Formats: sequence, C-alpha cells, structure tokens
Amino acid sequence: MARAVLLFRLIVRSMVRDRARALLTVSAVALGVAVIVAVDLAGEASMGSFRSSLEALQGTASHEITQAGGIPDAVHGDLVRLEEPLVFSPRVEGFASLVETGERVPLFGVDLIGDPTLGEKGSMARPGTSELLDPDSVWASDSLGIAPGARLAVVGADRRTELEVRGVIETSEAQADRYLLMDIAAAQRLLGRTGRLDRIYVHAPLDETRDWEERLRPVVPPGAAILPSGTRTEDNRRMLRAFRWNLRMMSYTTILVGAFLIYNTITAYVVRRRQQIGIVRAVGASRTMIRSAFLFEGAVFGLLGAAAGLVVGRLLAIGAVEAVGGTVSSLYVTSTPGDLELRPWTVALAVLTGVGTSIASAWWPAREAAGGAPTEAMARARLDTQVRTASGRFTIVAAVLTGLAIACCFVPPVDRIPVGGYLAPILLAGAVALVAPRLSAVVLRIAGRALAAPFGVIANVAARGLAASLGRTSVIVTAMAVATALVVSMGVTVGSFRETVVDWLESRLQADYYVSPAGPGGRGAGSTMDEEVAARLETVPGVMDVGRFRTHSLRYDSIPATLGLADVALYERHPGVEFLDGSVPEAVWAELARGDRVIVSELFSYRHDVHRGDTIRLALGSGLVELGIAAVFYDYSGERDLLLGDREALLEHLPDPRLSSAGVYLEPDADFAASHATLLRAVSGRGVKVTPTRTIREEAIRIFDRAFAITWALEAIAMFVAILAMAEALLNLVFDRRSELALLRMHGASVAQVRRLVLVQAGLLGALASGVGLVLGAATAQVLLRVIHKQSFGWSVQLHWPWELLAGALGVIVAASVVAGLYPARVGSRLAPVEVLRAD
Amino acid sequence: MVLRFLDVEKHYAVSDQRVPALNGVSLDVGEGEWVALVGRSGCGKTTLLNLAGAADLPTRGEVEIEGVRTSSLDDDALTELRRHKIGFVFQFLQLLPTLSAVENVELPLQLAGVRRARPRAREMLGRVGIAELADRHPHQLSGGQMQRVAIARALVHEPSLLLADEPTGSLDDEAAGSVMELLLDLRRQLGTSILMATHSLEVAAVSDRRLILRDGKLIAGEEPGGL
Amino acid sequence: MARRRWRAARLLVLAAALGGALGAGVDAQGAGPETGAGRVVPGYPFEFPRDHFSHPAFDTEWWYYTGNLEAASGRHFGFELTFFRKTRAVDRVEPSAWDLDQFWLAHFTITDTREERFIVDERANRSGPGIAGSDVEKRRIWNGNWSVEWRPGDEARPTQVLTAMNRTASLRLTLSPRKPAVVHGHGGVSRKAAADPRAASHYLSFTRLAATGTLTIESEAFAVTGLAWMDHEFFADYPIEGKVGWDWMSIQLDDGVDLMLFGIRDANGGYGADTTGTLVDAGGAARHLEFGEVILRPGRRWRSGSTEAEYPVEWEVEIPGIGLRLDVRPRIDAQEVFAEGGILPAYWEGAVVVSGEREGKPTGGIGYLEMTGYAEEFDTGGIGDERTGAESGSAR
Repeated sequence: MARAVLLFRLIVRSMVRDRARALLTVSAVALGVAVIVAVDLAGEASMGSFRSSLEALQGTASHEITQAGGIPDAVHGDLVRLEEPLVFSPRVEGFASLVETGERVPLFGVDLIGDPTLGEKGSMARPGTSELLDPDSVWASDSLGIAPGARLAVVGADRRTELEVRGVIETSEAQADRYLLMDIAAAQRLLGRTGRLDRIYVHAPLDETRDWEERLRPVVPPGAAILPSGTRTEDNRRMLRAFRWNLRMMSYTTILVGAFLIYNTITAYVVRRRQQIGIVRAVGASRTMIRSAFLFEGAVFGLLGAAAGLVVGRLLAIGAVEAVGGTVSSLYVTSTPGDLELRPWTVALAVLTGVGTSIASAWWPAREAAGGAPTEAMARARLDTQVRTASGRFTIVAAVLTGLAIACCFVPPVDRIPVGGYLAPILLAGAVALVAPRLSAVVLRIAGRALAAPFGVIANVAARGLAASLGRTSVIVTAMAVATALVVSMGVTVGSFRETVVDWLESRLQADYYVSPAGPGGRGAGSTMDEEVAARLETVPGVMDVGRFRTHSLRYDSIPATLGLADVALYERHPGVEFLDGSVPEAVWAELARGDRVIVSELFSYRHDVHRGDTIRLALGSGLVELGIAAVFYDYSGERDLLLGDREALLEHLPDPRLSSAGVYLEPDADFAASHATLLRAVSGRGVKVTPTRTIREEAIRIFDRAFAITWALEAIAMFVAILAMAEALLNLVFDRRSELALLRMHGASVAQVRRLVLVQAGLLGALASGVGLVLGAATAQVLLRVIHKQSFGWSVQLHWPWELLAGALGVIVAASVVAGLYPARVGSRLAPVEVLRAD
Repeated sequence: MVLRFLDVEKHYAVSDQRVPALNGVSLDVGEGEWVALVGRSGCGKTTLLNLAGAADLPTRGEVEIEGVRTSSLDDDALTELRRHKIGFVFQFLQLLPTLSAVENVELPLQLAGVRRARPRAREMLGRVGIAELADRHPHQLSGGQMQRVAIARALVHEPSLLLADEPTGSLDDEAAGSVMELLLDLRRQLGTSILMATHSLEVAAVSDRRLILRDGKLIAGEEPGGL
Repeated sequence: MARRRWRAARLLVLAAALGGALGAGVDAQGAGPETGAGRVVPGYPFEFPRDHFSHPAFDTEWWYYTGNLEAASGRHFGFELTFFRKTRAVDRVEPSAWDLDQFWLAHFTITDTREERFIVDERANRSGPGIAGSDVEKRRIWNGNWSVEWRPGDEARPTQVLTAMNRTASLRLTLSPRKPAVVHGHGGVSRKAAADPRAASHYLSFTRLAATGTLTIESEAFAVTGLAWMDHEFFADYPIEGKVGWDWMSIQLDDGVDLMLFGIRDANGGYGADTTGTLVDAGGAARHLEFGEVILRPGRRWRSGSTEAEYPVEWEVEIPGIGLRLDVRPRIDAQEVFAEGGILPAYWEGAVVVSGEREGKPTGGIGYLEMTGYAEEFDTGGIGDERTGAESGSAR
C-alpha cells in the first residue's frame, strides 16, 4: 500500500503537473490505437459483409454449381430428377441499372414457382404480391426504398425495360442488400440470357454427410464447377485479405511511431526526475520499484491512450469504411458495407497495442532510471554515453539486420501473405534505429559547421546540442524516418503503380470508342449486348474495325479467373497487349486463331506457375478443353486472373455470341468528335453506351486514385504522429538544455537567437529524418514492389520515381518539423534565464 | 557612472506570496572600480547581480547601466545592452559543454554578430593564460581552467562591467588565488569595472569597496568592519 | 407474417395458373376459352399408352396413386402420390423454357399407422427445362424426382413404377395391374352433376394394382407389399353452381370387388342427387353407378389442428341396388394433406379400412378416402372462394 502511494506520488503527480506533455503522449498513443482500431473496424465491417452483393440470396445452400458461359437450363431439369433428397435453387444473376438514379443493382432471377427454399425461414427474402410471373413484375429489396406499385425503368443487358414493382422484400438490417428480384423467365429475357442459368444452389440435408459432389458430377456438364457454397465469399475474402493486411501493416506503423513518442516522454521524465529518483533511491527505494514506477507510468499512458483511441477509432472508422468500401468496390466486388461493431476483440486489440507499446517503449527509460547507484542517478544522463559507447556494436547488429531483411525478400509467401515482405521493412527500420546515433553524430558534426555560415554560431550550437543528446536525437530521427519512409515508399509504390497502369491503359485501350451495355460498368457486371450492335457499328462510315469482346467467369485450379474472348485478328492491326516473355505478337495471334491456345495474364502465370508452352485444362461450357499458353501478357485490370483467346475460335466451346463490349476503331482520317454522335445513332434503341476511350482511361485512373485514398490518409496520420513526436522531443531537448539556453541568453543571445536555435534543431532533425527516411523508404518501396505486391497481387510494376512528389513530400516533412519546433522554440526563448539559473 | 541602483526593490512571486529579494537598494559603481558584494547565501546577491546585468528588471526603483535605465528597454534592447556592456562569470554552469574553450570564448562576439571573433577569442585566452587549451572541451579542463575560460568569455567583448557571482566559490584555494590575481591583472589592463558577489571576506579584501547585503538591504558602511 | 404473405402470393399465382381446377370453383373468365381447346365429349377415343400421358389441350389433368401397404412385420402404411397438371395461356413473344405454360403440382404423403404419423410434402413446378412433365416417349410423368414410369410390355396391364422422396421418407413401388384400366361413366365421360351435363371429365382408373417395393422413413427401410389404386382424369375447367367440395373414396374389398364412389357436396352439406361411382367386379368388369344409386352418410368428425377444419372421417356407405352396406373407418384420423406454405387448399386424403355386409354376408376391405372443401384456408384469397364458389367441372 505504501508503495502504491509512493508510486502514485512519483508518477501520477508528475503527470498531472506536466499536463501538456502527458496529453501529447496520450494523444499520440490514442492516434496510433485509433488508426489500428479504425482499420480493423472498417476492415471487419466492410469485409465481414463484403461478400459479393450477388450472394444476397445465397440462402442455406451447401453447394453451388457454376459454369463458364452459364449452365444450360436443361441441366437444372436433370438435377431435379436426381433421386436424392436434394433441393436445387436455380439463379440468374446480373445487374440492372435504374434509369432514374443510374444506380446499378444486382438483379436476381429465381424460380418463383418451384423453389421451395424461397419460403424457407431465413434463407431468402420473399416477395409479397401477386402477378409473380408477369414479365414486368419485379420486387425490390426494402433498402432500395421503392414503393410497391411504382413503375421502374431499368436497363438490363442492352435493353431498357419498364417494370412494375409488385412488392418490397424485407432484408435484414445488418445486410441491407440492395437488389431486384424477378422470376427466372423474366430475368433471363431482361439480362439477355435465355437458356442459361448463372448458378444453381444445392441444398442438401444437414444430417447427411454424403459426398454430394460425387452424385452431382455425372449430371452436370464436365465444364461445370461444383463448389461448397460460400466459395465466392471465400474467394473474395482471400482476395481482400492481402489488401487488408497491407492496410493493417500501415496502421501498425502509426503505433510504431507513437511508440517512439512514448519512449521519448518517459525518457524525458526519467531525465528530469533523475534527482528525484536519486533521492527516492537514497532513502531506500529498490531498483525494481523505480522500474515498476516508470513501467506503470507507461501503462497508464497506454491505457488512457487506448481508451481515447477506441473512441477516436470508432469515429475514424466511419470514414474508413467509406474509403475501404470504395476501394473494395472499385478493385474487387460490388458490395455493401456492414455495421461498425465494437467487438471485444477490437477492444482487446486496442488495449493490447496501446498498453503493450507503451510498456515496451517505457522499458529502456525505466531500466535507465533504475540503473546505477543513487548518487550516480543524480548526476548526468547515462543513456547518452551508453549510446555513444554502444554504437559500434549497434552498427554490426544493424548490418546483420539488413542482411536478414534482404534474405526475407526471398522468402515465399505464406498463404498468399508476403510475410517476408512485411518483415523486411521492419528489419530495415530496426537497422536504421541502430545506426541512427552514429549517423546522426556524423551528420550533425558536419551540419553544424556547414550551417554556421548561413545561420551563425547558433546553428553550430544547435547541431552540437543535438549531437550531445544522441540518445534522444537518434530516437526521434528514427521515428521520423520510419514515418517518412512510409510516405516515400508508398509514394514510390503508388506512383510507380499508377504510372504503370497509365502506360498499360494507353497500350491496352487501342480503340477510339468502346460500346458496352448501358449503366455503370464494373467488375462482375457480366452484362451483355446483342452481337447485332457490333454489326450495326461496322456499317457506320469512318469506322475501320469493330472488335468484339466477351468475358466469361471461370475457375482454374479453383481460383476464379476471367476469360476474355477477343477478335484476335484485329490485334494485328491494333496491338493492345504487351507480352512479358518477349513473344512475337504476330506469331501469338496466329496461334490464338487456331483456337487451341490462349494467352494468360502475368497474374495467372505467377499464381499457377504456368508459362508459355504449358498446357492448361479449362472447364468451358461444353467440357474440359485443353488449351496451350501462347504467351504471358501484362495486365493491371484487377486482381483477377485473366486469359485471352480468340472469340471466333472459342465460340465452339462457349456458344453464346452476345458481347460484353465492342471496341470501335476509326479510320485514321475520321472525324473523332463527330463520330460519337454517328455511333450513338447507329446503336439507338439499344441500351448501350458509347464511351470515348479517354473517358475510360480517366475513369480507371480515378478509380485507381480512390483506391489509394485510404493509404494516403493512414500515412498522413503516421506523419502527424511523427510530428507530434518531434515537437515532444524538441520540448524535451529545450527542457534538458534550459540552463545552457539561459547561459546563452546571459552572454548576449537574443530571444530570436534562442528561437532560431530550436528551429534549426527542428530543421536538422527533419532533414536528418528525411534523408534516412528517403533511404529506408526507397528500400521499402523496392520490397513493396518486388516482394509484397508481387507476392500478394502478382503484378510486376515498373519502378518510377515520382521525383516531384518525393521532393515535395520531403520538403513538407522538413517544413513540418520546423513547424513542430515552433512551440518548443517559443518555450525555449521564453525561459527567463535568471529563473533557470536560480532553479539550478 | 558605470552602474547605478536607485532605491531598487525586487520581489519574486512564490505561490502567490511576494517574497522580497531586494529592498531599497541604492549603489554606484564607478568606472574601473572593483566593488565586492558581501553577504550570506540567500541575502539577494545574485538578484542584485542579475539586475545589474540587465538580465532582470527591478520591481521598483531604477537600474542604470552607463546611464541607461534598464526599465525603459525591451528585451532585445536589454540583450543588446548585455552583449556590449556586461560580462558574466558564475560559480557553476559556466561553459557550454558542447563547445570547445575557444568556441565558448568567442560565443558572445558571435552572438553579437562580430566577424573574425576567433583571433580575439584566442588572444583573450592568451591573456587568461591558457592559450594552449583553446581547443579543449570543458570536460577536459580543470575547475580553475574552466573559470579562466569563463573569465575570458566574460571579457572578450570588452564590457564596461564584469559581474562575477562567487567566481572562486567552487575552486580550491590555490586556484581561487590565481583567478583573483588574474581578475586584478585584467582590470588593470582593460579598465573594466567589476561587481563581484562573494561570501568570502578574503576574496572581498582585494576590492576597492565592499557592500554588505543582508536580507535584501545594504547595511551600514562600506567597510569590512561593518559586518 | 412474411411467410403468410408469401404463401398468399403463391396461392394467388396458382389462382391464375390453375384457374379453378382441383375442386376449387373460381371465376370462369380466369379460365377463358383459349386456355385449353379440349372439351369433354362422349365417345372420346381412348388410345394407350397415349392416353395414360398428358393432354395439354385440356385445362386440368391429374394422376392419383393411393394405396395400403404392409411391411413383412405386418406394420401398415398408406401412401399417396399425385401429379397435377394445369394448362396456362402464355404469351410467347420470346419463348423461354421457364415460361409457365404447364403448371405441375404434386403431393406425396405417407401414413404410418403404428406411429400415427402422417408425412406430407407438396411440390409445385412449371414444366421448365425438364423439371416436371409428362413424356409419352419416355413413358414417364414426373415432378422433380417424384415420378411414375410405365414399363413397356403388356399395354393392357402396364407395370408402373413410382418413385418419390423427401428428407423424411422415400418410396419406390412397382405396381402391377390386377385388372385392366376402367373408364368411368358412360361413353368415356364421367359426369359430376346430375343437373348439368357439361360438368364432366374423362376419368380412368387402375382399381387394383399389386404393389411391391421399398418404403424408407427416417433411414429405416421397409420392404412393403399391398394394394394400390390409380386415377387419371382430365377435363376442361367448368364451375358447378352451388357446390363447395366433394367426398370421394376408393374401396378394394377382400372378395376382389372394387368400388369408386363420390358425391359433390352443397354448401349445406348435402349432395342432392350428385352421388355416383363405379363398381368393378373381381373379373375386372365395370358397372357405372347412376346418380342417386350411392348413399354416403358422414359420421364422426375430426378437427384438424392445422386448419381447424372438421372432416367427417367416418362414413357409412350404402348401395341399395347391390345390397351393400359398408362402414368406412380411417387408419388414423390425422391424414389431412396440408403443406405449410403449400399451394393447394388443405384436403383430407387417407387410408381407410372398410367392413360391412353384402346381401347379408359380412364383407370388408381397404381403401382411400378423400374429402375436399372443408378447410377454412381457402377464403384468404387462395385458389378461389371455396365455400361459396361453384364446384368445378370435375370430381373423381
């Protein structure tokens, strides 16, 4: 009890007395925790429910059957006649655009007559009115907010249709799915898929654990896939996991930077209370007690920070969900975010990271405080001398860490998570932390001299002052450097990626216009239009070629992929694909035209370890088809594997002539602007849109930029915490060296000179951190691009240095450091020299 | 008159209570004069020196340095005044540990924006007799040597008034003696007025005049006998 | 609530789809003249196997299989497997396999007498891409994996194989006719109402089918044998003024005589003159029982817990012309065909035992009893207004 009181006196009182600094530290911890909580919450909310919105009506199925190009209707008939206690739910799935709002919503066609699962509790929403089978009957989920009886103009596939909303389907609050529901016959017509089903759900008895797949196999076409239900969700999850991990790692960087701040604060306390500690030790406090006092202090910071962080994180998560949701929607699947729910796990995560980080960062200062004899504790700081003497050893360890980091880059991913890739930057950051003292000492010595000319003796004094507090200086440099490295590496990575995508879009989108089913496009849309649209376009004067393109979803080795069927003959005139492996385009086109070859995206090649010359077996509509790989091409259209084949040749296996899009190539002398109207006229009456290629590129880049918005937000927060750490460190420096400042004042230093001294120190720290951060960031960028991206996404990205951005960022960082120095400078210059000297 | 105190009062606010440090002090220090300020620890010596050095302003009364009233000046002007007219020597905390001896000495010149400060600093170090230690850092110097560096620094810009607060307080007798000798010598050479606070009568004995401070007041005569 | 609404919705669809078949009187306009061109006329040229299969020209058609089965242990089971078909006019601008031109409904029930358990399942489908239908080539009538297949061979006495299953029970029976098919009524027309000759159907039965096969309930398989009955009926929808339902029974007496009897019931519970039937002697010769020749007297009533309908589950049957008097007793009371969320209005159809005397000599046998139009369910806007609506052009 007595000890507790003493602890309280030692710690809490001083925290209360030094409110501003305690608040700063708690804020930093809170921000770090908040970012982690927000990313976790947002990730959970968005991804927990980020099942594809097409799964809204999945129900309680145990399996699902799919087939590239769709399942022929008759398969369903064969299935339901199977003498097994199975129930089958056929589905037509697609998207319809609401003409009024332009929103694209999933449209389901279900068997309103025969599907008994529609009425099963909890398995599916039930429409609630008559005229089920009228071709214009549609039911809207309640979250769409459309009243029964309303007329609803929609565009499905390439047709505009007037529907009548017969009723509203209640959806659970949690899901709030937005969708339309029709009878299967009506849906097939609306989506242009007569004769085909997109999916058949299989409901098996729960109590029987037979191998249903084996029973179903003989009935379904060889090209069909029978998968456990929810595979799609799993696919999405898996895909999203890499993305989520990257976000997580970034959120942890913030707490890492926050840790430096805690370390700083507690070190400052130790230094400032050295005398007090000495006295307490002298009157009989044990080392353990002193150590626990400071660890306790760290824990208190952590706990307060975690509590505040939870609250702030919950708020941040609202924005984060939107950002993450936007990214996921644009990169992966159309989906609806779920609820933000503060789960026990999230709370535990917050407290663990907050308190854990705080205690860990308090460890060294606490040890230092407890170390040494009581009298020694009253004397000079030991840490600085320790740092000096140990820096030789540190350098060796740093070299080892760097070596390990390099080794990590060659570690293969674990379950698609690039563990080695994540470890490498951490190891590098560790190395930087270790060489920071020595490096700082050298740089400061040189800087002090160099700066004396423009800034006067003050600059030299400033640099010397920093060099004298290496323990503190190097920590703040490391913290800033880590944050800077984050900015630099993301800048380089995203910049490179963006540049690569821009280049790729440039080369991929060769046509002048693209014609596609109306409504916003997007992943998984699967909307198609009649082939006649292409034929009409071909008759337009000034049109040189029309490229027909169709995509089909399929699976290869149980991983989803997209098979694009293109008019390969046109590629000879309008090459839109670049090969990784140096294949000769003409030869490749000729091979594709034979119909027994495809080309595959880099992603596909990497993921399945298949290369030019290999043969793959694809489950196409009619069955398993052996196809050779003619080449591997660059693709940045998304995270999905992509295969390209010749449309004409492969129509044999996927006999559906409808088109996903058509590329219009104009004659070189055609009037580009006038063509738009002519093309529109040619396809009028069809629900298709004619988009200039430039618009598509811009849209792609816009989506790209939106996808990375949250990344920048996280960086900004990490940087902000680093700046807080900087301000705090400078405050500590000012406090530590206040007697020297007073002395300077006595010997004729003006207020402005003292302020300049602190600002020069801030600038020096910023510059030092920028430099180190630049190097660390460049290395991390390499790791990101060559290891993490490659391993988790499979893209190879050409390295581009966004020089202007980097220069700008570094400038901002130095400037921000100076700004961070403003308050400490004010404090330093306001110190009344007399009182300082008197107090000492 | 280099320094004049006119009925100076100085209070410090400690926990809402006014603690008087100086109470109605008036004194003059003439050109080239060496005045010793004698008193027990806590009697207000340091306060008086701070006021004399334009490092602090009186609560009431006036302090004039070379005829300029400090109360009429802003902080920059006070700094300017210190830069040119005043030199400080303290008992502790004399030197910036990050700077070498010569860098410490040239500091006031540099702060005042004087070019080519280094030769003057070296010359000054020569005068205090430790030219050969110019490039040493404080932790490589003995107490007496440090005090010599401090004195060199206090006089390098040739101030009209040297304020010394127990300059020998932390030195052994031998070192203290030689520092005193040095100060006498320098005053002779430079004609600097000296106001030195000390509790040691022995030290005070070398002065031209002794002022006795007790509980913030100058008491009795100016002779040792008054103590 | 949602379930109820969904159900109501499905009923409404069926109202349109069925247009008034299955004993439910609905508006005659709904089943307009274009629905099916087929009309029930005397002298219909029956031809087999063609006429065992569907007649899409007629609005409504059904195949009823019912029977009493026994396991080797003597444990008794009853079964019903029924396929209903309804023609619906479809606008075929853009044909799709999923167009609802033929609507198929099926019922599957098992009566487990010992356990007093009644298992009911209903299945509704459109023909769709082979989901349900009738195929003379494949000699099959099916609704999902419930089916009846005619084995090739003796066309006069074709062996029929029944298959039905759900998650509780499955049934696989081979039915061998002991007598050839009987066409009810006069001139191939079975009339339903004495006052209106247009209320009629084409109606034929296999009155005595030897059944053998396997019945599985909750994974317990029974080898079963017994006697089954098959009805096949098709007609143009035609409402009968003032009728609310019908009571029907099939009786297989131990001496080899089979009886099909029915009465079309008024709102007040009487039949007027509208009771009739067919008597098939042990040799297979059929005699039509004229209107009024059959007397049906309802006895003890049982109240359904599901629909609150009261069914007279015991009957006294008298055919004075042949000196026959029989007491009809249910194997168990609870044999109401009521599927939760189902489409058809509830009716009672269950295995019965009969005993009585013919010309003074004791006789007995087994049979199936069907009673429609008792349930309250109908008036919620289902298939039509059952109690006040007119009887359709058919009963069995």
